[in-house]
Amino acid sequence: MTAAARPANTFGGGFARMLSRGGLWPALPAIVFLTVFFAMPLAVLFAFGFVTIERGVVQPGTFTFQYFIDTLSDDLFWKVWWRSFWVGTVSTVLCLFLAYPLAYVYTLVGRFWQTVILVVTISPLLTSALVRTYAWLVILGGRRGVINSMLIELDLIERPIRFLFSDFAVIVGMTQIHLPFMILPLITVLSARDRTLEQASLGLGASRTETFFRVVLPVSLPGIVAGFALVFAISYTNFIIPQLLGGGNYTTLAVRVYEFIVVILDWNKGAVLAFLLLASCFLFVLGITYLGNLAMRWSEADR
Amino acid sequence: MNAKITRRTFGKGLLATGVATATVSAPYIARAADKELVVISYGGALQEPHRWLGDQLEAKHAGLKVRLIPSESQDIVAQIKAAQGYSPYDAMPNGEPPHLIAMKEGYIQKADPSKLSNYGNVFPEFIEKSQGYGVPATFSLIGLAYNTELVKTPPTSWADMWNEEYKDLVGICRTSSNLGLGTLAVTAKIFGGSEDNLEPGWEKLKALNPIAGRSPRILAQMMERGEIGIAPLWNNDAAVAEAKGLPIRFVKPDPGPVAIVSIMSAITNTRHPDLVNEWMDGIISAEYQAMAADAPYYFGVTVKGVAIPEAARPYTPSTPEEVTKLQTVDWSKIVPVRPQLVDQFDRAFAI
Repeated sequence: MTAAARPANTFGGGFARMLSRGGLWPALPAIVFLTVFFAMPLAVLFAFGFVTIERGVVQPGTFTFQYFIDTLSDDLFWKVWWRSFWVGTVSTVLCLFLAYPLAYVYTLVGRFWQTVILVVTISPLLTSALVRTYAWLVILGGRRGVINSMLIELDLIERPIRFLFSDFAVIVGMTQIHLPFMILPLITVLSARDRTLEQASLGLGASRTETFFRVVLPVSLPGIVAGFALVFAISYTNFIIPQLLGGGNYTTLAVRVYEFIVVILDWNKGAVLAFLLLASCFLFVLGITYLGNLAMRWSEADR
Repeated sequence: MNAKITRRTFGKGLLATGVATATVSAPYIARAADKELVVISYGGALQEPHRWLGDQLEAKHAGLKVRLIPSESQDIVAQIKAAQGYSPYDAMPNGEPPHLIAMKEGYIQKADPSKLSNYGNVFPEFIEKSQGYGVPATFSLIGLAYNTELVKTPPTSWADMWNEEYKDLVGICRTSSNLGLGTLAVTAKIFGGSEDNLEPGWEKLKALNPIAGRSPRILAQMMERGEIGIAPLWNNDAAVAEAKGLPIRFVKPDPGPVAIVSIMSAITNTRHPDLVNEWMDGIISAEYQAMAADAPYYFGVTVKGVAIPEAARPYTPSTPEEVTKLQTVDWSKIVPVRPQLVDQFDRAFAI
């Protein structure tokens, strides 16, 4: 009997059968990797929020909710949470308003300009977020910063304007650094849209503005929801940008997690904050997706 | 050509991949077999005296590599704690506050004077500060640094920070750093408080409405960029900035700058205790001390018989009067409440 006649005995045959039958098997390597290197360490970290730790060792029989209660009853936690939420939301909305027109233009221009837009969008991702954040220090920094030195040179100001170490600096940095994560899903969805719907709308007498708001915008909702959820999640939990552009007078939930675990060496409170940060982020992303689904159901019914 | 993948060919492929990986990683394995002393150090130019000493040791021991890791002590202590006391590092310098924490947590070892030929030359006052753990390596001063482009009248005392002329130009470091803790303690002491009563310090610092730096290095960079005009700063950071041609100067403010000793200790369970002893003995050698005391580092000398260079006068106490003016802090009272002080900083300045 030839090998081709009994594919069941070959590795390739078994592999093909596994793929064709579906299930979770193809994802097994990723699942194992994520379980060992992500889920398990995260579970250990979260568990630290419920036990007492002395000199880095968990004390047996010390299960407690006290660290959660202490954290949730601390007004500083709520103030810091509000700031994390506020800067995350504002920078996400700004990203959407800046990214949408660019993604829309992408679908109108020729191949050359499409390539230019893609290169300009993706190239910042080739450098680390840390380097890009440092670049904002150079741009927004004191007397020697690009903006202030220009304004002083033009005799428009005498003393440098303080741009850094404020919500403004953090939001500007976050918006620029996270912009590609909004542009790319929007480009994908807008490029794949059915143009005949717009032609039908125009043909039936709708203006270009009406066509944009009643046809293009609804069909691009999946891209908006994906981009919004992605950018909100990385802005809300961002550590580097508030740390560098916010300065020492500025803190967010993610910065507090670092402070508690590395600086204060209080793993209990650090673990509680990490849990609350991740859980609330998860809920926000679920909320964004839910609202997006509601909006998309409406657009589908309308169609 | 038969390209079908069978179990056997897949197994061969896997083996080949393993062999290739082993071949590629062979240099790393070979390198790991050599002796490597991993020492925590400072960043930038301040690392140079350590590098010099590392080169001396490497020349003496064939196959030895002295690797310097520029890092904040707090990050290293956090890593050792996370690793349940196991550490890839062999020795580290700590200012007095993290030295006390590392002692309490058991992350550093007591020194064995019988194995340190230069130990007898160290000033006894500094030995007292180390409490027998490690060797007193150097000392540094917290004084006032200012940017000459922004500050026309140099400060002369700590109280000058509250001068109207410097309004909105003052920077301070967070209390997570030794610099920030020293600033808080000296402010409290000048304005009627003490290490037990830091409230006057908080009140005065709040009145400054200062811009805070996350670390001494970041605070120095903020001064370099002109975001702040005046700040409590380490003498060494100010000296390196001035040596680079930046418009930064340092003063030893009245009633006196704060002196903090840096102690080089062996990390518990170091793989190379003998080499660490040699390293620590080198740190308290007259040759190393003279180099560290010279331009542009100006570290304070902890051993007898080392002349202070003339150029170091603006940065270190060079007369007996200046030595008596040095402010010291009772860190044993500050260190136990350090977590609360870090938290209080956020409550006072970060919201």
